[in-house]
Formats: sequence, structure tokens, C-alpha cells
Amino acid sequence: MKFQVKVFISLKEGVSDSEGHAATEAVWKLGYSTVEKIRYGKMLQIKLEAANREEALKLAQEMCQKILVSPAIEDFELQCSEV
Amino acid sequence: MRAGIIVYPGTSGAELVSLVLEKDYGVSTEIIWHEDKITEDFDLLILPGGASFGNYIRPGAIAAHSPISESIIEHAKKGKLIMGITNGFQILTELKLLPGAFLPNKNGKFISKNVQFINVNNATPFTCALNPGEVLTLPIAHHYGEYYLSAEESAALVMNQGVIFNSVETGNIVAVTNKEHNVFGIMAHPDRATDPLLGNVDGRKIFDSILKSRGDK
Repeated sequence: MKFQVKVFISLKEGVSDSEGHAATEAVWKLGYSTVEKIRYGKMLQIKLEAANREEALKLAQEMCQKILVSPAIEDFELQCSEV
Repeated sequence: MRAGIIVYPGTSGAELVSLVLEKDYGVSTEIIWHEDKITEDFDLLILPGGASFGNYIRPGAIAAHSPISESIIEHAKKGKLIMGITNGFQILTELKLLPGAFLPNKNGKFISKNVQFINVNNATPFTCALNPGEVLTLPIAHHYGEYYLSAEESAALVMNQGVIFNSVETGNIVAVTNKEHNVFGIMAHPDRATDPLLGNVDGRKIFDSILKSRGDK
């Protein structure tokens, strides 16, 4: 079966994010005063073959821990769907 | 003394480091491709600067999974010297030989300029030719230069006297060693400040130290 796993990578709380800071300032200037904070992150889409959903998620998790995510500065969440 | 210089796709500093060591210090060097194994017992390994693998994923992330990593870790475990220059420093953190991680510069820009580094610890093989508190002016050239340490890593680094240089301007840590002081990472280019023709020879102090620590100078 084919799956697509989306990996949402965000900077850990407390890690400085100058791009997010600039984006926050920019939307404030546009009048969105209720915005508290914008944090930048990235989203990866992994298309892969796996026996089932659990296996697809397990493989994606492994890839994140081995190379795709830096545990020192980043957190991640996975979202899996069949394609 | 023999030095191995490791090259990844994107590494740009290998030839210069080799030239400095060979011409100025009489150290024989070998340039080693990242897919090869290190078979020789080098005294020093250098991971030069230059965005390995285009800095994709994160600086150093892909390089750290190269076949040569096993040999680098083995070399470190034997207590032999390793120096990581900019991207080389980033690779050493990805290999967990040095603590921390790197974020983009606060101003979001690639910064290329001379920066003053103040020495914090001169009792290491990489700084033993410096006086305590000596200030070196060294060129920096990087986009991911914001060194990040967790509170625990920072406490351990201070306790192990692993903070080697701070930036005079910002006070930030810009060079560190591991607990054993045989693995050194620096966010600057001592290799680019070794010839009077370049108007700056402060980088020589780092190479002087390495040779002094080996009893070669």
C-alpha cells in the first residue's frame, strides 16, 4: 500500500526564530493585533510503500529521529494518509 | 605529523587547509573523500568549511551519515585531534562529538566579516600557544552561525571547560571542545588568516597550538 506521511517540524519553545519574529511584526503592522505569535516551521511529505498505516508511521518516525529532525532544537508531528 | 582532511560534496576549504599545513608547517596531509574509510593512523583530522551537501535538511545533517563518520568517531575515541571549521563544526555536532545545534543568524543573513574572538581556555591542544584572554581577529562566513545549547548542555560545557572562544561583540560562544579537549569546533576560519598577504595572521595561533601540543614546535 502507498501512504503519504506529512511531517510537521517546529522549533522548540525557547529556540529563537527570527523569521517568525519578523512575520509577527509584519501582521501586526497590517492590523492583526490579536495575533500573539507566529513561529516558523517546515512540512515534509514522505510518499512511501508500507504494509499498513502503523508501519508507514513507524518508518517515518525512524527517519525523523535518525536524520530529518534535530532533537536539540526541533519537535515534530506526523500525519498519515493512504494515497 | 600527518593530517587527514575530509571532503564532502560542497566542502570548499580543503585545499587551503592543506596548503597552510604543508607549506607553513611542514605537515604532510591527505585529502580524504567522505565515502572512503580512513585506514591510516592520522595525528589530526580536519573537517574544513563549505556547505556540505548544500546544507540541505540542516548544516551537517547529511554529512554526518557519510560512510567516513565511523572512522571519525573512532579517531575521536582514541583521543586523537579533530578540528571542525564552520561547517566542520556543524558536522561534529550532528555526530554528537560536540554538543549543541545551529540556527540561522539572527538577522537572517549570510555574514562575512572579521570578528574578534576572546580566548576563554588556553589549556587545550588548539589554544596552547595563546595567552590567557588573548583576542584573535578571525574571518567568519556563515548563514547558520547561531550556536544553540540547551540549559543542560550549556551547564555541562562550562563544567568541562569546553568553552574555548567567545565573541567579543556579542559574548556568544563561538568555539568549543569536548570534555577531553581533543575535538574542537570553531565558527570562524583560522585557515583564512594565516598569510601576511591577506592582512591577518591571527589564525596561525590555532595551527601553532596544534603543533606545539604535539611537541613539533
